Amino acid sequence: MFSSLFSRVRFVLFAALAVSASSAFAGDDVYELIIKDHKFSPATITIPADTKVKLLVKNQDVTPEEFESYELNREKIIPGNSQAIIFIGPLSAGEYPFFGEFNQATAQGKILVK
Amino acid sequence: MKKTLLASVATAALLPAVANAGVDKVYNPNVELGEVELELRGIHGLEGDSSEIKFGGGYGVTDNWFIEGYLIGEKEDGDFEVEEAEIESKFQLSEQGEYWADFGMLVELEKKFDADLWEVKAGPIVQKSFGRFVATANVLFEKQLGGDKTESEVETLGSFQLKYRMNPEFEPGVEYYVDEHTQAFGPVIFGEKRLKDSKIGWELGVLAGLNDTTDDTIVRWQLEWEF
Repeated sequence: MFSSLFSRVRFVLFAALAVSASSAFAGDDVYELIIKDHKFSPATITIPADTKVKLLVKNQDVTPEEFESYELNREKIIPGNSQAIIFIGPLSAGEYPFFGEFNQATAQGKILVK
Repeated sequence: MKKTLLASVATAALLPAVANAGVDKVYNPNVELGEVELELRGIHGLEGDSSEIKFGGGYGVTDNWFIEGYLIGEKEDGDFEVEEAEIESKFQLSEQGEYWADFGMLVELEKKFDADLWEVKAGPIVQKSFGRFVATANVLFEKQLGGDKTESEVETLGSFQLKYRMNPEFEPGVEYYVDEHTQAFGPVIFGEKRLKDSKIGWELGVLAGLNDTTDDTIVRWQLEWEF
């Protein structure tokens, strides 16, 4: 009974995901952000307004880091020597700061939307 | 027949009051790898003097699976007792911002200590952001199992939240809860404070019962510590 219910819910969810998949993967711009020595590089990334983009965050340190931004409404842990995709936008013009939660003294950056 | 009737009456006495059973919390679909969370939350019906307190501990096993266990205490007629245990898994099914909305799934298994009664709940979590507004919907399908079950049908519980991301310490919002017995709506405030290596979060809501089987006023609160 429960497995049948679970299957039905899962089917509906993945149908919804499949319907929206084309828009998710169609033409999102990719911007690379490196974490090295507990700093973000580049520290400022400029992206166009009203456009969804992907941040490809590569953590080249051996320790994990958490990309965090209240302004972007994003929190994502990137384990050491690994990478993650963070989807951002569409955003209106402005500055959106982000930081590394585990190394806030050095890991600071911002998204500049123009 | 008489034995069945007596068993049903005894079981009903053990069960929590259904008046506010549909009020809990609204889950977001996001999971953080390695996050440890301690949580304390309460639901208090002011009219009937009923309370439910949950204490839980959870862990982000992967970047899309969070598992949490709870002990649940209930107060009715002046007596407070730990009466249930619950284990839940939350699955993040999409990255934030990846699709037109963010998707997750919640699965819960609850066991009443003093009765042969299990409850299984499962259902989707959907969240959509509109600028600084975030709308979240949880729809859970609930099935009772065990010899002391009082419902044989699958029941549906809905909880909905709209909040405004004003600043991390203060986010106003509203919530609406509905199930077969409960209908409640009201304002809720949310916030979090970053400490050195951890975060403390809080939620506080005052909900108005919208039907005859829900308390007129329900207070719900939550404290959580993430590290």
